[in-house]
Amino acid sequence: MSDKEVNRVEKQIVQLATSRPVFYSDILHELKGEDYRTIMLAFGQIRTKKLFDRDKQGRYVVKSSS
Amino acid sequence: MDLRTFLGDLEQAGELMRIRKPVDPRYISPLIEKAGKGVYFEQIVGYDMPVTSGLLGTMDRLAIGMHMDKREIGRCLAQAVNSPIPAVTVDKAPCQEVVHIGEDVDLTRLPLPLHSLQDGAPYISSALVIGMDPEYGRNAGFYRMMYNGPRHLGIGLVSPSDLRLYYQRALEKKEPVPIAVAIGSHPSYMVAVTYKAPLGHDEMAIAGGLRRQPVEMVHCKTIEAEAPADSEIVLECEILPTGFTVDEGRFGEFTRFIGGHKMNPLVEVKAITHRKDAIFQSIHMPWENIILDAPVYEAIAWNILETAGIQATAINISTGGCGQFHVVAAIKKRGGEGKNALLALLSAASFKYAVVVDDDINVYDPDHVEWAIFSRVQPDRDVIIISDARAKPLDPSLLPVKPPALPLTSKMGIDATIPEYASKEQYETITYPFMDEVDLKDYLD
Repeated sequence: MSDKEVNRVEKQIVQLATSRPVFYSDILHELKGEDYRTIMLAFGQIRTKKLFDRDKQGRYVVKSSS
Repeated sequence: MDLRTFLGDLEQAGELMRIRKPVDPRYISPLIEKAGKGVYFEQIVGYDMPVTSGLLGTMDRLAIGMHMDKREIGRCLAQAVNSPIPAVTVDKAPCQEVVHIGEDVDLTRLPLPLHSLQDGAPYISSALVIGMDPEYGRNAGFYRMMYNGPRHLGIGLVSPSDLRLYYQRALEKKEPVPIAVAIGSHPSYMVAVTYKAPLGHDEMAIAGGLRRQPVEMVHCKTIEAEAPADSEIVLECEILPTGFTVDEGRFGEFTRFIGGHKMNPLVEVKAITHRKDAIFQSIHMPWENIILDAPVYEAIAWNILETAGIQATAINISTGGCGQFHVVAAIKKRGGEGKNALLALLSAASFKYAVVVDDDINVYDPDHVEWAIFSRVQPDRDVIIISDARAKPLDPSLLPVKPPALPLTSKMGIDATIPEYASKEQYETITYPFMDEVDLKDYLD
């Protein structure tokens, strides 16, 4: 898959986590039409950029500075 | 004997389900839970690697893999611990038929499943991690590893372990710890590395003792570590000297509860090597972890009782106790040894409840054990409760403590052996007359 595709999915994941705290399973559920591996690559980019924090329940939330 | 041998053994015994239709990786975990057998997924959508999981979901399946009676695995492991066979190094290995190094490394090419609803990310749950320390040598154990990017993983090092010690020693020198992560192994390796051998003892030599032949290891291509040559996949990694700075978890634990997210070190993958037709093995939580733990803690109990000079005849660690919290031991008792056995067993950090019975009680039959507790126990004399002992942190009933304090547990022991003061007549059980003379089928039409 292309970088463009991965970047697009990355944006979708960040958008989702901006709207509400999410577990990884929520990401997989909400992005059901997306390829599993593309989601992993996009999630990897988010982790590298350190865009996410966790809430008390361990769900991902977008860092306030992001 | 490798993973493929085990798969063949399970298939022959009717304990392996082959799923030939393509499966979305999202559905790996729920399908295994529903299958009730070991599962082999031939086609995972988006991947060119099959996945197998749930193979060790019952003691019966573990016994098939180990080629021994399920009740003997713990005792055989105890013997292997005392009679290890050192591993040997070989030059060529199936696990290095294909090599990806440096920029070519991409963990997303492996079909890592998401195990539980609240897990932090897809996990490698079958990571047989072999670490090296310049002074203590090789250490092998099971560690969960969370996907953190195409070349990075998180590793659960919060609990005390030899690898954690290796890491802390390296961290003081700001050096990484080289680790080989083997995926896809024979159960004998898995049982051996689940055993927490004392520092400086090589779990791969215990695996050799269990298999009665040396394990063949191969040098990694990029790091100073070795991996079992017959693994399906090997990740050559370094635990980076980042300290405990990266969030890892949550993860569905062997206790059947979801563990919290924790700060842990970061692991960098330097190379991925694998067989040409590699199979990705995943441990289905919590069941396979519990099944692997049970014989290990049975082995610990066998060795504890032997050291205490008590003759054990059978030991059962139940799955209800998650493979390590409850132990039931049958002994050939001499005066007072019911209590001695309890004191010895409860000294092990994991055992929270211990029940000691006489050797006429079937430790594998909960009803029989309960009958012994009813008929041989006076609670005020035969129940021992110990407060403030070292705890397994994952027990959710523990009182919360603030780190760095470690949680404490209470423990209970039940001496369900026939009391020393009892007369023989009190314990005569019902025997039916003429049992040897009569055959039921002679009286049926």
